[in-house]
Amino acid sequence: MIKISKGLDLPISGTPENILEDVDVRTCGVLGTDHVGFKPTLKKNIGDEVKAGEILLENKKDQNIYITSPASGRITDINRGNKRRLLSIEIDIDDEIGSIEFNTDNILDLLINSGYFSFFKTRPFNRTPHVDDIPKSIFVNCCDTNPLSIDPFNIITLNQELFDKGLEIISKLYEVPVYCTYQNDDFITSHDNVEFIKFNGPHPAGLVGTHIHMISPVNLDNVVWSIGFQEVMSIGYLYIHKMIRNKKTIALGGEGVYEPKLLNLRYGSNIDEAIAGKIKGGVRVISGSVLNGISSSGAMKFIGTFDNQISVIPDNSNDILFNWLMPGKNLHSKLGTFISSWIKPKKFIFNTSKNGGNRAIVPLPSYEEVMPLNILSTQLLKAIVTKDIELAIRLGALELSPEDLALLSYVCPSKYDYQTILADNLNLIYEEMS
Amino acid sequence: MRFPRLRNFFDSNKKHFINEGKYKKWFPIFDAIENFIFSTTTKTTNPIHVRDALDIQRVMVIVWLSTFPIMFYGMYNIGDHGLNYLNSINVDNTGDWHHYLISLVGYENPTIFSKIWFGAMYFIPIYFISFTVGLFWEIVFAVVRKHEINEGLFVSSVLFALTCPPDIPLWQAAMGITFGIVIGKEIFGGTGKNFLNPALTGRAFLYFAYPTQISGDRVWIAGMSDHTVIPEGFSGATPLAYAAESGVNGVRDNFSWFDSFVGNIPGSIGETSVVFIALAGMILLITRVASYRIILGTLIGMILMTSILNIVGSDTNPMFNLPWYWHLVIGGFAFGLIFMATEPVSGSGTNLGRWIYGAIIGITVILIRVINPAFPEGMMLSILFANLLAPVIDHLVISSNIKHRDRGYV
Repeated sequence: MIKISKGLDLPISGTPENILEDVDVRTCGVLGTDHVGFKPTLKKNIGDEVKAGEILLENKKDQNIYITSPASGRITDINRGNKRRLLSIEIDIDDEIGSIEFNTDNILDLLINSGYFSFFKTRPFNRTPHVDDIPKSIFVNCCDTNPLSIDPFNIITLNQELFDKGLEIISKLYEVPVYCTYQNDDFITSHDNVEFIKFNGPHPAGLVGTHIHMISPVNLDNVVWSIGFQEVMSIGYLYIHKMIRNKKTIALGGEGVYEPKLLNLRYGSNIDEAIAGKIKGGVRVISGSVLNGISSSGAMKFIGTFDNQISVIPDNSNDILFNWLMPGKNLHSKLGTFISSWIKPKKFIFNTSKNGGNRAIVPLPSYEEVMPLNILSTQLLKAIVTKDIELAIRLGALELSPEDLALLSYVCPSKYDYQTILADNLNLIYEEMS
Repeated sequence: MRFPRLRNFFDSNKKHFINEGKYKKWFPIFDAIENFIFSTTTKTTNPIHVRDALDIQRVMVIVWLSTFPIMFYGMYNIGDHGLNYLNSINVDNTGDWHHYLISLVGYENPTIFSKIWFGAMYFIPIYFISFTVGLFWEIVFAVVRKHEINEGLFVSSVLFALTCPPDIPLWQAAMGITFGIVIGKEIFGGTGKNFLNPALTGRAFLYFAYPTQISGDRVWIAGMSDHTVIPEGFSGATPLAYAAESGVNGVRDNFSWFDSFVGNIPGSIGETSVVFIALAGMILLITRVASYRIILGTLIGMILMTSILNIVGSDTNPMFNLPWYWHLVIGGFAFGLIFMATEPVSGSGTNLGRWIYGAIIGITVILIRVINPAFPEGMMLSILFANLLAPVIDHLVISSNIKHRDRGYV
């Protein structure tokens, strides 16, 4: 077992209960922003019929990487943002149309044709790997320590055979070590050719970046791949049923939800539809966690491919008179400058207040206290803010993906957004390398 | 929203200060006033949706508030020594403009209130000048360089004022804070980008620019520099000056350790009372605004160096035999330790580096105090010296981290 001591579990209200509800929606979609570095070529147009598993998008930069339709139906809209960047494709679901059957025995072909190969992510860069690359090792992450998340064990046990099959397929894919990281004591660890490692501790103990750093650190020459438990289950489903898995189980939580619980819903579900009637007014709905998620509205109203949770929090700011003088009994802070650090409420109601203006970095100890990796946080943050990519690489930027810096953004008194800054730096490094 | 009318006032006037509004140049001032009254109304954006409640404003305000007990004790101490001196020469006049304000309460039969009043008439003008002149420069740079007005000024100005001797001419205070804010901070981009401690930079400027008025035996007691008479048995010399002259016995003959600890000694306004400085230190450590690593590192370095010098001994330099617990309570050591050395921006930025940075301060302060014949006080210079070394220390720590990381890939 690897124990993580530094970090922070947000004491956020609205933890989901282990109760499952089946939800169906009439529209779903594919977000164009799920895969880093994916330059989409559209294979379908508005009005076209698509089958579940049919190719919607192809990567211009790597023509074996596809994104397939999560459901059968008709394309009703294609939303674009700045510079015609693809935001989302909307599909009106019609199950009558049927799904594509994948009848190939070659596992790699199966993954490529179904678009499931894009479930893998490389570290460094957090991108989809090339199909003919071979990783140094593969990490299967069955941990989740994000705020308002649920232990993946609870979801895996709902369909243990899917997970077992998926894990078996991944372990046979290449002759490289496969590490499966988990957090629950009851987790089944009886697979051959897979090394199981338990992680324990506060967030980010459950992030794959933490696991990779502790087990098999990466750089430009040592590339590993990672995949989440949900995607492993989908691969298992694909192998058993010869068609794509169209539903997944996710957690719905947060102060803005009446009954925080688990939802069984379609891949790419329209979140508006899926949680209608379940949430309060004046809230922000987030696909993903409150620390690293996408605000779900307008063209972005679909649940992300890799997201295992929907978080709903009150959408207002802390408009407090003379706040700098107030004890702040309901405000959460990592350091001890608020009375709430001493007289703790059990749970805090977090809202979307930025809680301060933009300032230059002042190196308080908070960064180091939430960074369990052997990385000099303050120096790395300064390097990426100033786009000093050479220093950033040497300080470990390649080991990180934006989610790994989420807690540092959270505690930052100068209110930087290090996730976006890191993503920009990684893109810059990637372009310099190729 | 609890004060809708005030909130509406800001909301309805904001448009003049942003985009193409007619006062858009002055947005930093509007922003500063709005943030002073209300906490920010800005909301989070993708991908981080919740934020820690702590911001730089609160960090600075915590440090600022923690100086208040020191401020009040400092005023009392000025009054105590000033009135004592004036009564000993039987003069009811400070000899300058302070007299008009002090005579409102009077010089006779000093009470706690009249002592604080006396001290306040000295301290408040110094602080007022430091703050307004500092604010002026902060605004000038914020408007010209188009950055926000940083709350760091609250801290720099109060710390600067507290390190001044009570009898400092106000124009010198204005010069000092100007140098500190402009050269020590703003020309490098403002709070967060400075490599020297702004308050100490200003204080060092005064120290070297006006040595006759800012050191010696007369400036530490309010009113003394305007009178020529010094009665028998009365001196304005600080314990540090006695120590330099005749070692530990010289100090002991004039002050008890307990007096020095409580702060009942002449000195800069805020530096005398170790009790209240320790109280502020507790606040800063409990809220974790100050780094315990720097504080412990400095203490360890100081105790180590003093012990070495105690053991080595010297026939010609009586300062060698001054033990560490005396060094702790005299001069600016305690004040510098809690408020100046712990300034996070100009100090070392790595955890290991903070220990080393602290130790360097602790060692050099003793070296300057004991071995250097020119300067009786070493805290200011040793912290500025360590400020200059901090990037080197960090560079070494970073290099060692990089080497360690490189060994991880085999």
